[in-house]
Amino acid sequence: MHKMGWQDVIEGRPGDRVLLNGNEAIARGALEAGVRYASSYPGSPSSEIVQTLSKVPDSELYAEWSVNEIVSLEGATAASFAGLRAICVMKADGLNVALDFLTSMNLGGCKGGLVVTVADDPQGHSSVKEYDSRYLAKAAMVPVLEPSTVEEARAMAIAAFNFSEQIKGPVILRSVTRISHSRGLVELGKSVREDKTASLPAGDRFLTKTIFHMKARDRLIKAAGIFEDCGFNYSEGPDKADTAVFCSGTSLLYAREAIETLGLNDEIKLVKVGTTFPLPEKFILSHLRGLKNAIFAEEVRSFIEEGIVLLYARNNLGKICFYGKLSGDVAGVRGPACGEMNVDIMIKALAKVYGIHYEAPGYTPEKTAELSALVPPREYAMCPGCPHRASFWAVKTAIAVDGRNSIVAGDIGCYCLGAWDTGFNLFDTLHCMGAGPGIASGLSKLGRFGLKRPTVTIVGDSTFYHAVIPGLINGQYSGSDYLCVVLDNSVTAMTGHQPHPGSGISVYGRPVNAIKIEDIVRGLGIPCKIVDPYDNFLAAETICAMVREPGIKVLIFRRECALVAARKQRRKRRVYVDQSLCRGDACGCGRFCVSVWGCPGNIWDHKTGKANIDEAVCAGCGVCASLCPAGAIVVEEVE
Amino acid sequence: MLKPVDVLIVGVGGQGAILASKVLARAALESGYDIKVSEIHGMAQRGGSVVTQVRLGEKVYSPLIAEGGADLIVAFEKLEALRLLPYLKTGGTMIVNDQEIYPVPVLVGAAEYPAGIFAYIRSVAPDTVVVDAVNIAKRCGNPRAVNVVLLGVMARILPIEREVWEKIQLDEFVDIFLTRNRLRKKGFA
Repeated sequence: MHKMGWQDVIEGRPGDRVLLNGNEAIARGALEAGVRYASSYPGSPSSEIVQTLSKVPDSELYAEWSVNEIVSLEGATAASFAGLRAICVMKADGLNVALDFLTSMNLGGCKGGLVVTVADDPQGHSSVKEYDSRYLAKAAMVPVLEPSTVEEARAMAIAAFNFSEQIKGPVILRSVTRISHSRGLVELGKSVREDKTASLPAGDRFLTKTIFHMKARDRLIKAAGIFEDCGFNYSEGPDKADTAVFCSGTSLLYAREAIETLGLNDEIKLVKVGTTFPLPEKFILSHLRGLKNAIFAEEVRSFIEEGIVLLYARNNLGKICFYGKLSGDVAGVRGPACGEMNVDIMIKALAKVYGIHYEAPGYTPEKTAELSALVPPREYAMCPGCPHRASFWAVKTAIAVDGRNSIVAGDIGCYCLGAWDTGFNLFDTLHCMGAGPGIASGLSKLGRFGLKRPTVTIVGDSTFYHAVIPGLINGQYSGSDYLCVVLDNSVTAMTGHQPHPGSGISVYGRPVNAIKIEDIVRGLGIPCKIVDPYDNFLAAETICAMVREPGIKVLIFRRECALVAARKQRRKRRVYVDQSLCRGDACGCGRFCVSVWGCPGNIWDHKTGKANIDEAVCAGCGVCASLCPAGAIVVEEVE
Repeated sequence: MLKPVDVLIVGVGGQGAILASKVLARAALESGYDIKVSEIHGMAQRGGSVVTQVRLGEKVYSPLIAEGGADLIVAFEKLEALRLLPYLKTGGTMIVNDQEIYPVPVLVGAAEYPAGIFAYIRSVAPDTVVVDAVNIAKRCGNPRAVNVVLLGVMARILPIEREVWEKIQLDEFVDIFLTRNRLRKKGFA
């Protein structure tokens, strides 16, 4: 049988050329660098790094799914204090959570190589934000490395540990979706460090103090010096050229392909900047000198562009025209500094600078518009049998029955789909992890100023441990009045089913004591009930009763994620529509199962004009059967 | 010199398009290609559009295929075939699974599932191959193995030797589709 990606990472020998995604390549680089501690809160597109590293025996490497990013970074930093190499992994949003600690520890610094790997998600393919984390790194005064390819991601991961030890502070390795979730051939290297002794002698202290701000500054100066000759910054194409494209990350690849497509290989120099903060100024100045045009290619915002324009302003370099996101010349369909880069954007920018008329292959804008008018969007949808759909329906029903038009504060997870059509447009607010209870608490204080709508907040189980507990304590202490609904599917579903403190399973797949949500809630003195959302009427009734109680209340909707349940392949139930009972459009339900309930398992048979079940898709939850007004959907137990 | 080939594999989350792209990449690797694959999984685990780009060649830089650049589009769902049509190169090949999966706007009645998709696609790509992969997979005993059936069709079109596919198939599928000797053969019939 062929090896999985993680097996190539862990078992691959030096010299092997294997197909890895960027996250696996980073994991391999970290292993070759002798990493001993790896922690993360899962978040797309970063999750496969610690997932991969968790397959290494824990005598060699400690791995952890932490409850949130700041705890995760604190743990990894502790390993660094003890002289070990440590990696902490997060998505861009996670850097916000970890930032308080990062900005503190970066003043005092650390010891063993500490690499904070942040995976940004330009275009927000699997995020609500398309953050450029380099600006946060700059604010925290932490150096940034940006790989352009999967192969370079491995090499940079190794180098990042070395740089960190040289400057005695953390280094950020910034990936993006098109690195983390791209596959390419990677040549594996050999392990460069075998040492695994943790040592924290008395007298080694790691403190933060205002005056240490100077240390952080000096560390950046040192990093800039190291970066000048590190090999991650280089140029391609003619030595002397009027035009240079300064690129970082995958934009290097798009620029290179655009130059080849336009046949400008002899005209344009590519300047690849791999160390984007602090900039290697001497290297960049050597390429700025004598230029007429400088073009910038990077994601998401104008980070190196700003740095290089500032460098230009400080040096006497003659007239250079700058084309980038600041000038608006490098822009996709969303305009400059929004969305991903691609080859097409670079072709258009280069064609403009060179006054070339370029006819792109593909459709005319008119034809594209005609086509997109024809094709309805396929937004994210919840899976067949997803317990969240049942939970949302119960909340929707309860709010309607209650009649006071409750405000629903949403939160982040698979269930953020509660903000859109597939989740009945239930949410009135949606922001970041843990925001729901805070907003609900605030709203519940506004009765004195005339706001009479009750408040419900909906959070997930993993989110509960990550960010909800302080909000609940605050709510209980300050006398808030809201219902917190916890959708407990026993796993961090959205990012690929990682375990969390309530799952009863460790990162290594071993059983551990589950920390129960209800125990925490009751420990705070907050009333708590647990209902299976598949039991939809009971679920709705319970909400109705609880929203009418004063104070803060927690209702746990507990039902395993439908995908996890499907994988266990337990006894499945067959669900079908009794065609003699379905009344079709004469029913008056408005095709409830298909057009309102909206589970992919419920389909409409246009030939018979009646409802049907797509049995290949149906998960057998049977909730639609309990909701069908004609009672036409039948659930049958099968062995 | 290996001829560069750009393949787009599109479908709906849960159909197995990403797995298909992994198998294709392995087969290309065995054949000596340089490879770049880019996957977009979408936010939730299921139900959104999944677009996987596989680029093969002597040397491949960017993982992304530009509009009008795909030599082959393999669509696991009809609507997704139509959506990605602008990416097909003039003279490129389209393989479409004859399956409709309604997106949310269609389910809730806010939009129509377009009629005449094949006619539209054929007006641009006359040689489009339509495959009833769901029924083929069902007949072989595993309705979820649509991806294997489509891989079988892909295998006949791509410049990769049959022996390579057979080797890769055995490597990749033994664990995943247990039924499936028959299916494997069907896909390659």
